[in-house]
Amino acid sequence: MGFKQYAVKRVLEAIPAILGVLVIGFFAVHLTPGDPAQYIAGESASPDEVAFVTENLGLDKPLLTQFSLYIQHFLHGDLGYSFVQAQPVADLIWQRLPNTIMLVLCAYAVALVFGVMLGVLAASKPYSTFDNVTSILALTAYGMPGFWVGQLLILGLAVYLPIFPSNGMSSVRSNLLGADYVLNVAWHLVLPVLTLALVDLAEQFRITRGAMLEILNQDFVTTARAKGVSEGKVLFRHSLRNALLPVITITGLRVGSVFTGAILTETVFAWPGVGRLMFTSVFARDYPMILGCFTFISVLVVGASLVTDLCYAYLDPRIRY
Amino acid sequence: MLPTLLVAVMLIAMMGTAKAQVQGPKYGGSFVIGQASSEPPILTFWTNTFDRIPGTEMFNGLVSYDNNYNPIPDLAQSWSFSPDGLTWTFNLVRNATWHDGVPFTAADVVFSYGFSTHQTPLSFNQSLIPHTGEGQSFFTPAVGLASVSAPDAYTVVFHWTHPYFEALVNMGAFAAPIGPAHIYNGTNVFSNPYNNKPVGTGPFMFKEWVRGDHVTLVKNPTYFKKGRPYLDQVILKAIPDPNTLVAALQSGDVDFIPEGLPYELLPQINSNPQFNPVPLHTTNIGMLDRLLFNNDEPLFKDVRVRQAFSLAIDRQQVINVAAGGHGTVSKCIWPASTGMAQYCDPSLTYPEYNVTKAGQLLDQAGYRVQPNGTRIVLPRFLVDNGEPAASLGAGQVIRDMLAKVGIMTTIVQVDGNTRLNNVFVARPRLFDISMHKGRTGPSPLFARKQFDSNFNAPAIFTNTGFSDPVSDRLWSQVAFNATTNAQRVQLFQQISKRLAGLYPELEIYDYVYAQPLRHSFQGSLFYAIIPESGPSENLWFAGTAGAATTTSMTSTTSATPTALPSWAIIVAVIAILLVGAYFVYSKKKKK
Repeated sequence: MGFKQYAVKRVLEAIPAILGVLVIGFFAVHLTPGDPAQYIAGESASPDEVAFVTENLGLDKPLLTQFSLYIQHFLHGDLGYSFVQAQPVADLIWQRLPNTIMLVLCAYAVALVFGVMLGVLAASKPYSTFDNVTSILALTAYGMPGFWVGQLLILGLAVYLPIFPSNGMSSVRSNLLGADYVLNVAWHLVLPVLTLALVDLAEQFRITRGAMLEILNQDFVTTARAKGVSEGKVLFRHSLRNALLPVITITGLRVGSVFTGAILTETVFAWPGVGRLMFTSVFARDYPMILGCFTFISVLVVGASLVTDLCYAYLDPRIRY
Repeated sequence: MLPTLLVAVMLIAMMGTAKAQVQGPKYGGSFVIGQASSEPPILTFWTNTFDRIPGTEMFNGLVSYDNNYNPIPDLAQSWSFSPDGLTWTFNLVRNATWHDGVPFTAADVVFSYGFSTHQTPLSFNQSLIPHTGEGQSFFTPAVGLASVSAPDAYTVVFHWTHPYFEALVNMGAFAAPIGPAHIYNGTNVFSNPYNNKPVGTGPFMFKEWVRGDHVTLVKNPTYFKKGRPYLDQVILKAIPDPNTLVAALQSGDVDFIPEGLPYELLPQINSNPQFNPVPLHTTNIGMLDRLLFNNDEPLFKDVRVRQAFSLAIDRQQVINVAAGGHGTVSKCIWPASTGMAQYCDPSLTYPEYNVTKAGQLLDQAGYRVQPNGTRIVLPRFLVDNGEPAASLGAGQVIRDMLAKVGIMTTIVQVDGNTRLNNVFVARPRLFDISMHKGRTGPSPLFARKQFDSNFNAPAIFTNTGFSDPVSDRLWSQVAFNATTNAQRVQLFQQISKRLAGLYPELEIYDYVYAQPLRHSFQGSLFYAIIPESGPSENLWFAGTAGAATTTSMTSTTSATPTALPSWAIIVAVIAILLVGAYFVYSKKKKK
């Protein structure tokens, strides 16, 4: 099977995966107890008023009818209308998406750069003090829950040692513009990025170190060293390139966990992103909003997995299924 | 490099912080209110959600309140009642304008009380006293309020079918804000674009709403109350995690938490001189921590069982263990430690904690101790996992106390929406007992729907299956037949006495709010009375410099330059990374 056929096959396989996500997501959300109409109508609304809101939201229709309508709208690119925020779901996600992408990209960049770099350095001197210390630290970081790390960072670096802000995306008291605003946002990014990147960094470190150890034992590396190639070139040019496949895999597979990690990180740091939008929507029983976020993140994960597989197949011609 | 720069910027910024000095009222400053609850779905005046802070800063009611919760002039500068109590005349202020410059008139009041042409059956100000009628909203032509008319531009007359004193207590911006007729008349109120960029008459005007982050309100320069407000900005910051919210308070990002602190954090905040001592308010609107029974269950149909639960619970011990000693043992269905004490019969007090008597009552009711030591097993003791830790703590203490008389309960923690559904909406109800923290005002009549059997529809905060025709009749009398305030108070006292002997639910303790307010802010803050509502018009910033001052404040009426979009920041961050990578690469190449 050629690369093109493989790519088409993988794309076709992604369609039922997304459909499955929609079915599970829709029914799981609607089966949870709680009534969005009651939430919207308010604590003092009469039953008539609640009934009016229920009808207005289309929640009086049978569940299967609601599902059928949802699928039809989805196929037209319409993720629905937020019950609570009275705006199209896609618009609300779009408003918050840049904030989440900024957070996730920065976290990814930090994790990738530092994880790979530390992994290479640790593998270059296996079982040295540096390797042992970084390995233990990585294991510790890997085992720490993100929301707890976030709280620790806030206490340490925002409250007791007030270096970074504890929450939000910018300083709300000040009307900053231009470069001041960019710097201010970057300053607010530091703690949430550290929180989100930590687990990923540990994972990248472990994967890189393992892959590098395997590569460094191969004959071509010994040959390169015998030829007098500098150690830096041996590590980064000859070995790292060959050790990158598992790193790419893990980078693609972790898209989902990074986005779910962003839900907690955004909540802890009051970062106005998609994750927090989803978190607050769950408590308001805003079905379209929850489903919209759920579908969006799921499509992103399926897409990332698809891209990873395609990259993998492209980089390593032996992989054809 | 970048982190070093950022640290330097921060340190320079911190050097400007100076200790606040206490002085007389002065102008300027930004007041940041932190909220753990989710943002309001919309910002405008008719939103009927739990959280009304943005609305109450931007809108006024016909009346406001003094610290004893007596009505004082707001948009109405005076009012009078006809001798039979059926006609109320309000004289409106003449110098109020909407934030867009249009004069405020009686037409706005008539519109806001729901007698204009609306395209939806949801009347404005439905929260005014929504459930005083028999299952209907009060302010509908059929029940209570016959009409609202405007004989001239600055006079409004309310015509009632019954004298109804409760309404005046509910005509403030919290429950009955006045909205702009010229913005809403003839439009669909749900989709009106001004719902999220409100135009009010209040002390602060809408500036921006960054969803999920903050709402910025700026000073109304033409506010009809001369010399008010003092502050330049009021900012509502949404911080969903309570720990982060407290950290923001300590780090200077937030000045006030109206929802109150969890009690266990009090020592930590009190150690900060900017907040010590954190005031503890027992608000006039009142909050009670209660234990609800599923009165639909045969077990709870027997008043002896309900009384046994009351005797088995040591209320003071619940306060000591779960609430750090903060709070007062409840005496009636309203918080007797607040301004609502007048509605409780003075002779009322719940019988003392008495396990022996509780056991005897359960024996009489047929619930004898089984060989395994239990009398009753209740597997669904619901506790809201979103409420302050005190709620769970109270549940745990009560569980242990009930176990001493053989009532074995299992605490089930659920989120707030699920609990409300299981307790009030689901049929059959999906709970046995539940902890419940509930508001009891601003009018004492607010409690009616929890006890009157006419309010048994599946809707939140309604009756949980209790039925007593005598108290039902008393509720109806106080709603529609009290012609004097004395009669009204007397009827409420009769209700309190009647219900105290029937135990439809157990009031455990009157809840107090620990509301930290940064000392650099002075003046009266209405939040002390109603935690969920503003405004901050009488508050001023007393510091000479520091976090609360604003930088480059622009005219409130001029177009404010908008901040860079997030996409631009992403591009900037990527560009910085690329430039960094290029330098690293070129350096290597040179080597």
